[in-house]
Amino acid sequence: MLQIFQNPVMTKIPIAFMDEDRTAYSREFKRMVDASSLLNITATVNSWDEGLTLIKRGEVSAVIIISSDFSRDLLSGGQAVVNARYDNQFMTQGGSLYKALNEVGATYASKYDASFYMNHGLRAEAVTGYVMPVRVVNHLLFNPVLNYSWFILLGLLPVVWQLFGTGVVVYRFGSEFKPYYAADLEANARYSTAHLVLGKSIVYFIMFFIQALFVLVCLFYILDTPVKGSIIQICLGMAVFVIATMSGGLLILGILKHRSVSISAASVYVAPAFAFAGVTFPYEAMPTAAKVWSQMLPISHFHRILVDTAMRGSALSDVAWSFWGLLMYVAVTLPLGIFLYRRALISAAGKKL
Amino acid sequence: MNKTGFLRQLKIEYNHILFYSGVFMIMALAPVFYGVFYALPYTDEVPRKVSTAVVNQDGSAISRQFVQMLDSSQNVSIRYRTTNVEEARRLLYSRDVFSVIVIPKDFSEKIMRGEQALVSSYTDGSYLIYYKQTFNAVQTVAGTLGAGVAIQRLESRGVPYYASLETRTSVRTDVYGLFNPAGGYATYVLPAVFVLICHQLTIIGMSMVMAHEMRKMRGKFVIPSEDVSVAVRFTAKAIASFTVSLFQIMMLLAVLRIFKIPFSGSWFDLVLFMFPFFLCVIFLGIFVGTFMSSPERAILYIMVSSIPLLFIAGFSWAPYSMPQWLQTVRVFLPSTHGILGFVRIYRMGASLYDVMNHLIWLWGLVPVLGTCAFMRMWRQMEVRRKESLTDLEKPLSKV
Repeated sequence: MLQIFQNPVMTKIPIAFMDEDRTAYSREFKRMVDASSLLNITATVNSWDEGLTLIKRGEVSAVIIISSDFSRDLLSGGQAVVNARYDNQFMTQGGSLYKALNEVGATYASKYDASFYMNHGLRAEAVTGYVMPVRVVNHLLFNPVLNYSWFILLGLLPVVWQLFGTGVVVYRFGSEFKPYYAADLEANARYSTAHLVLGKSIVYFIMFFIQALFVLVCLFYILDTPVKGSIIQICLGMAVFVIATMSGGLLILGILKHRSVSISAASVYVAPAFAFAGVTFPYEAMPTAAKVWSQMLPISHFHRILVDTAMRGSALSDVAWSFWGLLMYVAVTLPLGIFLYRRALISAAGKKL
Repeated sequence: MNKTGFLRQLKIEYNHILFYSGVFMIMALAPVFYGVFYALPYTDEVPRKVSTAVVNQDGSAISRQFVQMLDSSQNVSIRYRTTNVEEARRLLYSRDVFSVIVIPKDFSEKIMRGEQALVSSYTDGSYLIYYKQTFNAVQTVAGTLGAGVAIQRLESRGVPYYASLETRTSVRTDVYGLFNPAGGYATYVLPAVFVLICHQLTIIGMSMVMAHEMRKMRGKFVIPSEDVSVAVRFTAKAIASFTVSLFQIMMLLAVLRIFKIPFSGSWFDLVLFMFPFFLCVIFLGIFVGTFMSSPERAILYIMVSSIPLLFIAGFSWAPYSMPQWLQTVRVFLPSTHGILGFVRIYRMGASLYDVMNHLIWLWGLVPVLGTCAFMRMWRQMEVRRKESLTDLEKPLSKV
């Protein structure tokens, strides 16, 4: 995953250029497009259909069309129009293209706007007041360079880990259901099966915690994701997240009492978590049913703790609700999971004995 | 090939899929469940009415007009109005709002003087979709309000109204998004994810069948029956799972229609394209399954690979932004071609000719994966047969 997003900002997106004007003005526009760090003219087309075919084939992601009357309109004091069509089916790329194409158009226009207004007797410093009377200064907080890898990997890596963690818990704890294991466990654990389950859980907790720490090291040291808040707060959240993941797996196993069926059920529970965690599509925009389900996934709470603490520098009081969410999840699933799993284990041992 | 033997084997393979509960759940029920469930968060397509706070330090009629226009846009909703920047900052950190618009106190004064007035927009960049929505709304409002101001200024200099409309800027750039102009998230993500769901569920299902078969044979005096060759078993298995895969894709296409994801291509092209894709996936499933010691492991390993496969396909992150070695690896994965080809036909209206590169890759992978799967299956059967014969030769006490 780290390798996929090695280059965190998209550059040199291939586009096609269609120049029907073929004058110095259209060539100047073309040079300006090529100079943009985001755009790269890789094809020249003679018709819109040709450009559209290239987009459909995935060879280019946009087509810029300069019509034959471009320079005539520009020189006559009218308004010259540049048409740019981009592929917005692939939206991540589409967003970058939209921004880059508008920027190139505005930069090119500003030069001719200035000379037009100055020819009409305006001072150079007053031109901007006519061309763009209201300008928006954008401040992108917490991720100022629009680093896609920071944004996506903070959600993705914990989601992948949750998939793995839940699966391993169900698989390993489920293997104790085999009659000979269960009988052995029962014979050697006269004191308390609950202690036995806890003892087994601690080993996996330590292993998972080390794994999750490795995920954090990847995020913060290899990927250079900023950590504006407390790293201890993140580790604390992660510890509760690991316990929540394990107790969720244990509960599934305790309810279904069968390893194979439990693994299928666990996959149904955690595999779509990426969609519900609010990583790419915000929680606030989801319908109520999806919001309810989202709250029942540990990753939703942990993702918020991670993003808010690391990127926004939020204090514990700002992420208290997410901590409460995780703790509530643990408070319900852990005792219930241990109880049901213990009962299932005794039942499996009973079959053998 | 013995026709009766083949039909009998085909029946056995269908029984494996339909009557082994784990496989049936994964291959037949899960596509419907995942299809509906995965689409649920995206039903609204685009986040509307992003909670926003406005810090209006100007308080003039024109600044109030700006705020009113912003509030009536469909992307942004003004939840808080204040003159205190610190209060707005607190709202942003507590997630009560996701963007803050600051109108400075010299806003109207600058407009009156004919200068450029500035508006500051502070957006939460940890959620890119909020940034995009707020950016578009504020830019549109600033552009609309600014256009009115500019036209007034030009008219005051004697430029007629219609001429001023044109001369406000000498070059206009019309930027238009194709195939998904509204930027709907479901339209973007669901077609790609559904292909991956089919891919993963088929591989998991096939791997489970293979692991289940091997487990049944292990530790028993089972000699793989010699009247049914490995070729017959292999063909029957592929045909049985292919028909189930057709059911999967039909279910997912139905879900796409239910969620009103527009279809722009040709059904004929789509069917022709998906044929080699499913062959690749089935062969890959058989191949992977021969390495799995238990059906549960198959689910565990293959499930974890889902998210990397989705992103390596290049539907979310452009392939040319990936390192060279990943660009090389991704073209050997059927999921890459399946996802991109399907999205291009289904959503972008591409013809079979337009997705020819993906089709060639898929047809190229069919014999490679088919041979690998067949060789592994044959090898496994041979090993098991030899083990069984050796076991039979041993005295009973040593077995």
